[in-house]
Parts: sequence; C-alpha cells; structure tokens
Amino acid sequence: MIEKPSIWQNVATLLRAFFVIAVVSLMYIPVVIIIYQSFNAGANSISPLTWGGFTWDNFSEIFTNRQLYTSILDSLLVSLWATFIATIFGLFASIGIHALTKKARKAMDFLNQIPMLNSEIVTGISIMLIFSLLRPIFPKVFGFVTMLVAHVFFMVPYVILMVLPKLEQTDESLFEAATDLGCPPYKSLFKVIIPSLSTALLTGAFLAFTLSIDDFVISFYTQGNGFSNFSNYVYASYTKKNFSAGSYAFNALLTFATLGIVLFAGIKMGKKKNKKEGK
Amino acid sequence: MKRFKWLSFPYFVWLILLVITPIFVMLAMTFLSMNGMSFSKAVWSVDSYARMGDPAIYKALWNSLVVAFFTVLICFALGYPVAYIISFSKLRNKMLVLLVMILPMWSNSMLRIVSWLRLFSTDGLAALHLLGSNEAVIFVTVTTYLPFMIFPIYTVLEKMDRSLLEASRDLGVPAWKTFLKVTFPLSLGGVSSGVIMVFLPAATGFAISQTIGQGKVRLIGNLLQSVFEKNNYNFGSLLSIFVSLCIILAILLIIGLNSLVKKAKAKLASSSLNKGGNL
Amino acid sequence: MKKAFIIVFSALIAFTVFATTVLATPSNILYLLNWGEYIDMSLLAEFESTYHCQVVLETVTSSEAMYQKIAASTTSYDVAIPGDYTVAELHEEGLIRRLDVNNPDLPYLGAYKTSFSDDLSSLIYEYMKDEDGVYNDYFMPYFWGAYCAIYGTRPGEEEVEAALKEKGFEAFYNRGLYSSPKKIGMYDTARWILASYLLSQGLDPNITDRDGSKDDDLSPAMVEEAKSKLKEAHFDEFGNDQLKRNVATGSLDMCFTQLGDFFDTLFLSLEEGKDIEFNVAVPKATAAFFDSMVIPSTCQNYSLANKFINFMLNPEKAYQNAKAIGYSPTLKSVVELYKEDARKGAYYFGEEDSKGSLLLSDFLSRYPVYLDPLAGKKDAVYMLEPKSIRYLTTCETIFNSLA
Repeated sequence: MIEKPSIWQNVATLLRAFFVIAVVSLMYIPVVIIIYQSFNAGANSISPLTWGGFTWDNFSEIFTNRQLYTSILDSLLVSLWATFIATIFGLFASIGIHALTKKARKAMDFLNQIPMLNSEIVTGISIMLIFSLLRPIFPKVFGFVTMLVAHVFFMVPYVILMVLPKLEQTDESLFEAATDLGCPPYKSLFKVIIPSLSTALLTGAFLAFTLSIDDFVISFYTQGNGFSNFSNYVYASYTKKNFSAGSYAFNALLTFATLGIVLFAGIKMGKKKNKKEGK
Repeated sequence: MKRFKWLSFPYFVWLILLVITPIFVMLAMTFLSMNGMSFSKAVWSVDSYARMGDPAIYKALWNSLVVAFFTVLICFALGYPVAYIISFSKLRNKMLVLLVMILPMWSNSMLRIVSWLRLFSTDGLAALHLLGSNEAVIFVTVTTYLPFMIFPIYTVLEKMDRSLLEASRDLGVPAWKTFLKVTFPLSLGGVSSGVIMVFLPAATGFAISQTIGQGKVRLIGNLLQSVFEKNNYNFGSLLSIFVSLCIILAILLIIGLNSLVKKAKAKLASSSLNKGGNL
Repeated sequence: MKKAFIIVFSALIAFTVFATTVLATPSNILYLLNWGEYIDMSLLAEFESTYHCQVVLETVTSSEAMYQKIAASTTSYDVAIPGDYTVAELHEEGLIRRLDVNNPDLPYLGAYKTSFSDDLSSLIYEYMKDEDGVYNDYFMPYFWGAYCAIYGTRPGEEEVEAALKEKGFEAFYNRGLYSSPKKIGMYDTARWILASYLLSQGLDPNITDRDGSKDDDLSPAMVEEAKSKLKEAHFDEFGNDQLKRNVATGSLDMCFTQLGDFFDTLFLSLEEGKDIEFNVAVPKATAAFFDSMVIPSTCQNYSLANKFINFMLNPEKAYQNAKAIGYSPTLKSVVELYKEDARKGAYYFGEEDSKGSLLLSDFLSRYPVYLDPLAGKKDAVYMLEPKSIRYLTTCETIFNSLA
C-alpha cells in the first residue's frame, strides 16, 4: 500500500528535519568556534574571539609547543594502552563471569557496575588515595602508571557491558564439539569463542577509547610528575596568555580527519547499497 | 565452559583492590585529622563529622541536584525526539546521520567548554550576563552531554521489534496511542541508561560550574575539589563517601523505576502475544 | 584474530617507541611548580640548554594549591615558587630544604644576605623569624608586591577610582559609594577574600576576632560577620587569571588581585595595540606579599635545583624575567638596571616611532608602584601569616556560603 505523501506529511517531515538540525547545530557551535580559533591569529587576544587575521601558525604550534605536544602524546599513550589492556582484561573477565554460578555472578555484576555508577570525582580521588599510600615505596608512581590504572579501571566495565551479552548469545555447542573432537579447551576458546566476539570487542574498545581520550576529572586526580593529558592541559592553561592556540588547531585537525573518514565510509556504504539494490 | 570460572578471579581481585579498599581507606581517614596524607602527625578526631553540619554542603548538593535534574530533563526533551526521528525516518544512511552527531564528541570536551566561555564573554554576549548563572551552566552541560542521551535511546529504538508497532497500527490504534502504550514503554531501558549517563557527570562535575559559573555556581564537585585542594583529606574523605551515598541513592531510584517499567513491559509483551494468538 | 592482535600490539609498541623518543627526556629533569604566567619561557629554554636538562613545568592558581601539591607530593618537585605564608608553613612542617648557599659555584645564591631590596628585606626580617632567627637560607624571593585593585578608567567609572583612592578596599564592600551599579570581581581564593574584607574594615587581615586576637580558628561572630558582609557585597565574578582581562576589556569595573597582574595585563594590552582604559590602586592599608623559590624536601635533583635558583638570581636573567612577567623585581641590582635603562631612554614597550610605544622612564614615573610596591605614604602594611587547616577550612566555608 503506497500512498502519495500529503502536503501535511511533507510539512511534518520538514519540521522534523528542522528540529534535528537545530539540536545538532547546538552541539556544533563549539566545534565551529574551535575551527574558527584554529585559523585565528588573535586566538589568545584579551578580547575573546576577535579576528586577528588568517594564519597557519596555530597548526605549526602543535609540533613546536612542547607543553602542548607533550600533553597530546601523553593522552594518546595512556588512552591507547588503556584501551588495549582494558579490552583484553574485559574479554577474559567476561568469559570468567559468564562461567560463574548464578549467585556469584550476581555479586560480580554488582561490583562491576560500581566503577560505572560511581561519580568520576570519587573514582579519581579513590585511586589517588590508594596510590598515595604506595608513594613512600615508589616516590614517582604518579603519572603514567596511575593514569593507566585509573583509565583501565573505568574502561573495563564498558568492555564487559559490550562483550557479556554477546557471550550469552554464543552457541556453546560449537565449543563442546571442538573439545569433543580433541581440541584442548583453551585452544577451542581462542579458535571458537573469541573470534565470535570480535565485533563486540571492537565496539567496546571504541567506546572505551572515546571516553578515555576525553577524560578530565579522573586524570586530574591521577596525573603527576609532568605526565598529564590534553584535557588537563587545556584546563590548567586556558586563562593564561601562554595557552597554545595549537590546542584549537589540533582539535580542528582531529575533527577534519574524522569528518573525512566518516564521509569516505558514508560514500562507500552508499555505493555498496546502490550495488545491492541494482542487483 | 565452566572451567574458565577462574578467569573472573583476577578481575575480582582488581575490583576489590580499587573499589573496596578505597572505601575503607576513606572511612579510616574520616577519623584522622592530619595535613594531607602525613600519617606520622595524624590525630584521631571526629572533626570532619562536625563539619558536615555546614549548610553550604547541603546547598551545594541541592544546587547540584537542581542543575543535574534540569540538564537531564532538557537532554531528554531534545534527545528523545532526535533519536526517535532518526530511528523512524526513511533515511537511507542513518549511520551517517549518527556519525555526524558523534563528530562533536571528537572535540575535546574541555575545549568545547572553553569555546562556550569565550563565546559568552565576547562584547556582544557579555552584555547579556549569561556567565555566572545556573542557567548558563545547565545550557553548557546539556550541549556537552546530549549525545549520551541520544545514543542509548536510539539503540533501543533501532532494536525494537517493528512488527509490534505495525500490528498496533493495523489494529487501528492511533499513532500517538501506539507511541504512549508501546514505543515509549519499550524504549525506557535506553532512557534510563541515558538519564544515568547524563545525570552522573552533570551532578558531580566541577569544570563547567567553575568556568561557566564564574565561581558563583558552587556544585558538590566544586566543594569536593576545593576541599582536597586545601589538603583536607580528612573532611574530603567524608564528603566523598557522602557524595557516593547520594549518588547510589539517586541511581537506585532510577533503577527502581526502570525495574517497575520492565515488569510493565513483560506484561505488555505477554498481552501482545495473546493478541497475536487471537489474530 | 591472532593476526589482528599482533598488528594492534606491534602498532602500539611502535607508537610508544615514537612517543617516548619525541618525549625523550634527558636523565636530568627539573620539576618546577609555579603559578601560571609567572616565568619567562625563553629563560627556561636557556636554562635547559645551558645545563643540558629539561624543565617540566606545572602550574597552580592558589597558594593553598601550591602547598597541597608539595605536601601531597604526587610529584616530587625540585623547585617551587610558593607565596610568603606558604613558605612559612612549609618550613614549619619541614617540607623544604636549606639551599646550597655556601657553594662557591653558585655566587648569586651565596649573596642572598645583601642582594634583595631594602624594603623587602625589612619585611622579610619582620616576618620570617622563628626561634633560630631569620631562616632566609630556605627561600629566595622571586617577585613581590602588594594586594591591589585593578579598575577601569572609562567614562562612567570615575566613581570607582575616587572610592578606591579615598576608602581603599572598602570600595569592594560598600555598594553605597556608587550611584550606579558597578561590576566587581573577587579573587577565588577563600583566604584572600577574607583578607580583603578585613583590610576593607581597616583591620589586620590575620585576626580571628574583632578584639584583635589571633587564634587557631575564626571566632563564630567573625564568621557570621564575614558571611553577611561578603554576601552583601554581591561580587559579580569569582575568578583568578580571568579577572584582570575582564577589567581590561570592560566586562568588570574593578577586581581584587596582586600588583603583578596589573602590569601583565598592561603589557598584553599594549601588545595588542589597545587603549589603556584601566589603572591600578594600592590602598593605604594593604598587605604585601612575596613569592620565593624553595626546594621541597621530596626533591630528587638537589644540585640542579640549586643551579636553577642561582640562575634565576643572576641580575641579567632576573631583569629579563621581570620584563617578561611584569611583577616587581626583588633584587636591588635589577631595580638599578631598570633605572639605568630608563636614563638611557629605553622603551618599556615598542620602539621610537612605533604606535603605542611607551618610554621606560614614562612608565616608571606613571607607575611608581612597579619598582616600589609600597610607594607613597601607607597607613598600614600587613603580611598574611601562616594559618591552621582549621582556619583555612573555615575560610572555605565562608566562601561556599556565598553561592
């Protein structure tokens, strides 16, 4: 039953599109400002957002301002390693939790929720306190180690959240068949179960990375010894005259790169669809 | 697969170390009056408990709840329709629209907040005195965390069994009634995770209230941060525990509501099955 | 799966190797804890190349935060630059080390007894005394100044200037002085807020009760008084580095801050070619401050830390630093360098024919408080004294009650 859309339906569609665009543009205003600032020679002027002329200098700042590129590399180091570790940790923890009895599982599910449901500030403070106790033995423990632990801590629950439901859906008979055929259980775990979880792992890792690279509060409490991250660099210096306009440029670069990837993927996906429909 | 039970053990130990130990450390510290973590000079005291009588704490807590409540409310009012419109649209490439929506999240949140600050302090907008008010803090919090509301709702709506809706339409139920009786109740799982994901950072963050609030909007996060900044770990620990308890209470409330809804959902599912049988 | 793992893992290793090479730090690292905008970055670079080391800089926005960072020592700082009362607290707690003042290789450090300007030296002498005498070899004054007000001089803001000249810090607390609403910014450090209030009342900023006593904690009556008066003041903004900029751009009429903030903003505005529509006032009853370089006891590189302090006390470097930062110099020799350059006709900003240029001699005569922060007849000059955590928490309580 295909009806021709009436005028009212068209108007409704238009209104809906308008609403979505309005809401989305609300989120885009700061992004536009960031891009504007990244080309603005007067990005750090006393009077905010005055246009001081077009420049590429802010982009070269990314590679010349040591405080800035250090914070960027620190961010990436922590987030990439934390994602990697949290994904593997989360994967094995999920398999373990999946194997637990119902009662034990309930307890684990509860414990696992705590890092997600506790406020970031309390999580940050908790980890800071624990490591402060270790400081007499390891005086330089604050920095990469504390931030890595803290990030892994808040990321693992998200990975488990993605992996566990997939694990429930996995057909265990395949695993049983493999073991019955004489494949050692750990080999079958790696050959049968884990490959079926790859999409969930990827989503989990992606989600965890997104949260980690943007984290401010937890890193605020666990940074130290010159090791910090980008968010904390911005927070500590945005009121200062030596705040690097390269921060905007770096962010704009990231936005352009992501946009490029998105558009590329979109076009490719569109083509695929067209092909399918064509057939 | 039961043999993999032990794989949950390392994670269990990890959670005990990083969730349970800090609670006990904090509890102990609430009774230890000292400067920072200098245990050698610590004195037993209940000073920190006496400080809990300060009305400023409850005022900050109340203010946090108000800011978080309105943030959640506005995020829901904007986010739900957006998720709904996209999910039910006839767009070919919904994924692309979604990616366009994620893109602002790839800009550093701290930098986005700074951009709002700069925008609000330009000559033209400074005259409106937007900064330093609860409203401005709520506005910026909304734009920062809106995606956290949209995505869970969108995911649930996408997974929803459309045949249910079609059945409802075929039975001649008006669209708005279908929405209220079927679509909305079924999407509540997504709504509640969205609510939690927005509520938590909105209620306990301190960066937005500090920058956009110009020091005049004091939330519980600001209080906690400044107490630790003044080296008062004693009172700070007690305040952390207090904040955690409040958060747990709030979450239990949300989860409690959700489980009620789940029951209703189960009822609905069984009744719709019956209807299916009748047809 | 295995392949994916290997690819991801090796990529990660490759990135780590790359990042650590870029971040490659010489074994010689100096961890410096400082206020924001408070050191000439080119001096840091020069120090790094001279001593083949790397300086890792961390900044804070309040003296209390500085104390917290040193006491909590999540980082083992080698050099920190806390304010006067924080230095006293750190000394009392045994959290700072004696400097290497007898090392013949560090001449500027060794000359500490005679190198600082007289006004400052007498302040230090009065203030930094314990049973063993003046513990001057634990800290080296870096910059100094007084608490002041930066105010706008645009049309319509004349009342602010008059009020400040006549009533001092009362201008912040008595809205009755103005015929039209004024926008007033206050520093967001709880202790400074209380100090500004007590100063506005003509009181010693260290007292804990109206009767002038100095106890461990503020008296309940004092707390109530401060709470109500501060509330009545209806400050339009609490902030730190942002305040001075807001006065410069006109979104505030006046703010409470330290002297150096004014010169910093002045220079920035000159640089941007803006009209200077703001000025500074140091009231007759005020508090002085000085920030000092110290070596925390957790320091891991004592000899480099001493070299750094010695380097910063070199008159040439200290002069360069003062010119870049705009706070008042502590060294006699730097004051002389300023005066000498002024005689030679040097420029404070710009060059002979450039737009908006300012002769150093004009600058010094227009702003005598630069070289002599306590210039002019003063009714009273106080210093903020070290206070207990209890006292600071009470200040915080007062501040929190304002929201």
